[in-house]
Amino acid sequence: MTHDDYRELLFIAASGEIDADGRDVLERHLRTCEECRREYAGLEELHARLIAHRPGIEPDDRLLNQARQEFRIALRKEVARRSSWFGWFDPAVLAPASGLALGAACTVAFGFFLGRIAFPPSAAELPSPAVSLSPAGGVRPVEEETRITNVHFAEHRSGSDEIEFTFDAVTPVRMRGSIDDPKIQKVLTHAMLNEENPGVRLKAVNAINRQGLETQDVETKAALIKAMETDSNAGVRKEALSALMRLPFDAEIKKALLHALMSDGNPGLRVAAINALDSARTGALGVDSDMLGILKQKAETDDNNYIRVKARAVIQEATKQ
Amino acid sequence: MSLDNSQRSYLMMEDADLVRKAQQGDILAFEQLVFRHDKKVLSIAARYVTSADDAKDIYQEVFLRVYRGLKKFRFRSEFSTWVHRITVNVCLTHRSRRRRTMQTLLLDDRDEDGEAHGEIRDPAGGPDNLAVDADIASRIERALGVLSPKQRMVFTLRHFEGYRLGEIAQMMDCMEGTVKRYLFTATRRMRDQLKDAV
Repeated sequence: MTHDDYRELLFIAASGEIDADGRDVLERHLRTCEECRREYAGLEELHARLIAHRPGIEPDDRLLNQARQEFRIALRKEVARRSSWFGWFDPAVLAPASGLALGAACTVAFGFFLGRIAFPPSAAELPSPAVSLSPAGGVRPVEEETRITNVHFAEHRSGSDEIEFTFDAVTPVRMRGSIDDPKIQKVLTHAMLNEENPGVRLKAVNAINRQGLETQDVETKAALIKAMETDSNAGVRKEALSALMRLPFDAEIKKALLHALMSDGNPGLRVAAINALDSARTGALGVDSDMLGILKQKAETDDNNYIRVKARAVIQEATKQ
Repeated sequence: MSLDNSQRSYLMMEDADLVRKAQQGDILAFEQLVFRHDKKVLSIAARYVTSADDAKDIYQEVFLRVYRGLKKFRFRSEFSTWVHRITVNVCLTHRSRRRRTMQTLLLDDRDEDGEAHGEIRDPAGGPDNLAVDADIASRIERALGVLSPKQRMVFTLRHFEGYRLGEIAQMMDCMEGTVKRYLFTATRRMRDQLKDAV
């Protein structure tokens, strides 16, 4: 072997990919070659430094949950985009017979478009605004605080003193009422799922958590499950889990808890999920084969020691019964 | 009582079964696949780039490409290998938000004749910068900056993510010998860059 061959072996050894035969050959060479010994020591030190000072950012739970949250939004848009456009470009749609029908429809649409350009509608024909600023039951708009945004002017017709535009009117609304009021619940669930500020989302979950059990409906439960599964903030997810545990335990909640146990990046939330499943297993649902399979997996693979021990304990208890 | 039919078994299903369901438009099956593989994707991205925003951008782009390409997936490789291959490709072609912003700022910083003001710094940093920088992690980061994207990717996957050369070759869709060459060159260049630190 040439010296260059040994240098390549050195590099392979430092990369941790050398086999037993190669290692023997290299060790024999290192005993006699001072230069290669220095080279090898340098490579090993480099490797140790690199491991100790990994560059980049830590892919922690917070980042993972943020990435998941943002991806869900992007995926929803992608799904909507595909369903609205791709259907039209499906080869089946463009088959000869349907193609003819599509062509006829396009011609009619194009003619209609030309007609609108040639004979624009009068103001009287225009649709009424989509929003109403008039007060409605229990809602008191503060009209002077209405924020006008997104103003778009339509093309101005020469010789006319009328103008036409559209805008979004954002009006602050103050609501006060019982936590059991369905209208208030609707706003709270919306805030819980859509507010950007995690503090507001947390307050919304806490408020829902104060509701009477009899007034919590299917939509609230679905929103709580969604918040527990997808919120980027672990505190919000944890509160959503607590709120869910006040509801009658059923297959949906069980599935959501199993999902959290399997997929949540936050060990605290996985602990809360396994504790909730443990306390609920004595109920009507018990431990079925799905749950048992997941518990076995967690007992062997979860990073968190408590979860592994707890999973083993729940399995042991369940198999005794 | 067990989970109902639409919900049951997703958590326990093999990847291949979930892929088949997702290919038929089952979004829950797709989400389950994402949950299974996204930690590795984010980990690779986070080690390859230098900002959380860039890592999230790569994460999102990877899974959108997976979603768009899922119908064409023919099970010729493991699903995970395919996802990792996409991850590598997205990383290699990714332009960081910071670099994009920096370029915009540099373009904005021009006078009426279109002349740019200020010094355009090599984002990788030079040997002089290394000599005065006391922070070893940032020196490693700078040293990585002098590698080509493929060298950097191979180096990251081997040293920071622990993949074997054969796995890296699969991900990068090239021969193992090519990966070795990239790694050899990258290691040599890293050692040269860090010689006064190591």
